[in-house]
Amino acid sequence: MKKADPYLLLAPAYLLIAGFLFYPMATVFLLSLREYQLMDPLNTPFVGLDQYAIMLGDEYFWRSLWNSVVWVVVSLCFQFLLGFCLALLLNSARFRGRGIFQAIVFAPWAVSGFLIAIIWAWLLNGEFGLVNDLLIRAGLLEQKVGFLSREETALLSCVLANIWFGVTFFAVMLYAALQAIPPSLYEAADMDGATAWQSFWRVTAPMVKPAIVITILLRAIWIFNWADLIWVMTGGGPAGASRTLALYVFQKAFLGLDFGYSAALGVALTVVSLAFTAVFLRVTRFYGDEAAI
Amino acid sequence: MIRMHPMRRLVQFTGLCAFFAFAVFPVYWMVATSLTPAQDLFVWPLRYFPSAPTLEHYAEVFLRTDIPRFFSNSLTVASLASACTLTVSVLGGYALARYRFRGRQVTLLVFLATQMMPVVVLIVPLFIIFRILGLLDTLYSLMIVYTVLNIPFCTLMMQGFFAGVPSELEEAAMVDGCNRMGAILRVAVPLARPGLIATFLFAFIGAWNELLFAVMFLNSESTFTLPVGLYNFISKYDVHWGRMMAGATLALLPALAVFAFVQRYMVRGLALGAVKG
Repeated sequence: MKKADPYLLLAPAYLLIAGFLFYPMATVFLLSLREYQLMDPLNTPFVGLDQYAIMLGDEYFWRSLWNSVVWVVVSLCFQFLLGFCLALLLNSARFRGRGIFQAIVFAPWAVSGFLIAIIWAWLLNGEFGLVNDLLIRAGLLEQKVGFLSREETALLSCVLANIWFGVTFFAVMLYAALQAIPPSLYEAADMDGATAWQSFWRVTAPMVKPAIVITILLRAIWIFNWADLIWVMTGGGPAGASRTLALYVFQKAFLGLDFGYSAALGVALTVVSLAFTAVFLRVTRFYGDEAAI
Repeated sequence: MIRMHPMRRLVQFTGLCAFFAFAVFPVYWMVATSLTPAQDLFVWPLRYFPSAPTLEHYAEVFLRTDIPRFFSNSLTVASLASACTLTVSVLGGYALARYRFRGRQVTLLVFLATQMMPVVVLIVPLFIIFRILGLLDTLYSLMIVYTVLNIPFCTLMMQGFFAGVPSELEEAAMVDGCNRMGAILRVAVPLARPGLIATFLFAFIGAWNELLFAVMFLNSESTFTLPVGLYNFISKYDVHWGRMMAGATLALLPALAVFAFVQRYMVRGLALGAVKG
């Protein structure tokens, strides 16, 4: 066995990651110090921290940051609660066709952000959307609502679509954790006369706690950085009401063609992600690497 | 198994049904819309079942739009990118599983950490790099991006699969005169085949579904991937929902077919943050 072997085998991975992940990531910061308009790529004066100053005074930046908080927190709460319920149900139920059932309820995972967005945009359509139809039939609404075009409902509509997609993730992870609990623990609790409620709080909850913490952190970072869904559903509108920070980064580049400012926003996004990642890595190490991999 | 109280059974049954409906209904609605004749889509109150199902939207999609081309572009990009990803991650995953070397821990940690990188931030610098390389508006740019984005996670995944394959057989092969590369290709890879397939398919779903890089890098319709092509349906002022849902159904089919194979490996995949879009 030669000493260089592992490095040679890993060389393609290292090179590609260095060239197309880390190098571009590093240039984002340099880019944010320049005025860089796509239409004028030869004229990119160095402006120092000016774009950051603009960012701090940009009300759309603060609004997008707040929207990101709502987007992450509300989505996560529901994804976690519903996903945990689904995992508990799957774990306790024994019936025929369970494998197929599981495959079907987990299927939303395979639907892309883009498709989720158009499916839900159609469901929530203000004129012929199914959600309007159901709510009016149930007597909860008097007349049709354009969920995606109203300030109060646009972001929450995206959250709803995100919940639909993300319940699966929690369910799969927590289900795996539940399956790993040795049945002997429940038997022991039973012998000691524990009620179902007690054995849930004394056995189930502590046993799946690491999985819960890790899943929530992973998801939080991922949802925070996820821009496709909102972009396709509402485009961040109306008037920025549903624009998150990740989407703002993309839109500044794609629509604004202002690469310098987009890069500055990107640095802000990265800083928040890094903070999350640091917490994540600490926690994973705390619970042992096995929990994460 | 402990016998269950009938009340608990009822709660359980209702809960499972509710989740089933929640998961399936939006997809059902997409398919139903794609089969409903155009004039029946815009009636109020809505009809929940297409009374006279029709394939007219699919016919339109095939005959009047470029979706077949977008479909084949997506297929090309996704399969080539995942093939590249797989090659790189088989080699890397093998190294991480079989050798104890300096920097192994760091590599694992860094690969895991890349899964938390904000991908949207990469769009601008990669755009600039590809402009310099002259690869903008070509499918090569996307193949490179999708390959690279999937490598860290797929390498970790392959590492797990190789770690589950005993190494004695490779050692025996090497005693018999195989070199290390031969042992990997002739012994380890065939043994880890289910893992290879799962890894390939995970990478495939990721590449098949990606939108933002594609929409930023591609300009001419001849290079559009399926998500970009469908996105252009919306951005035009009048959304033709029947046709849109037919296109969406076609886009979803390959992903669902692939999902049917990989769902067994989902836990490992999701734990590594494999759900990039």
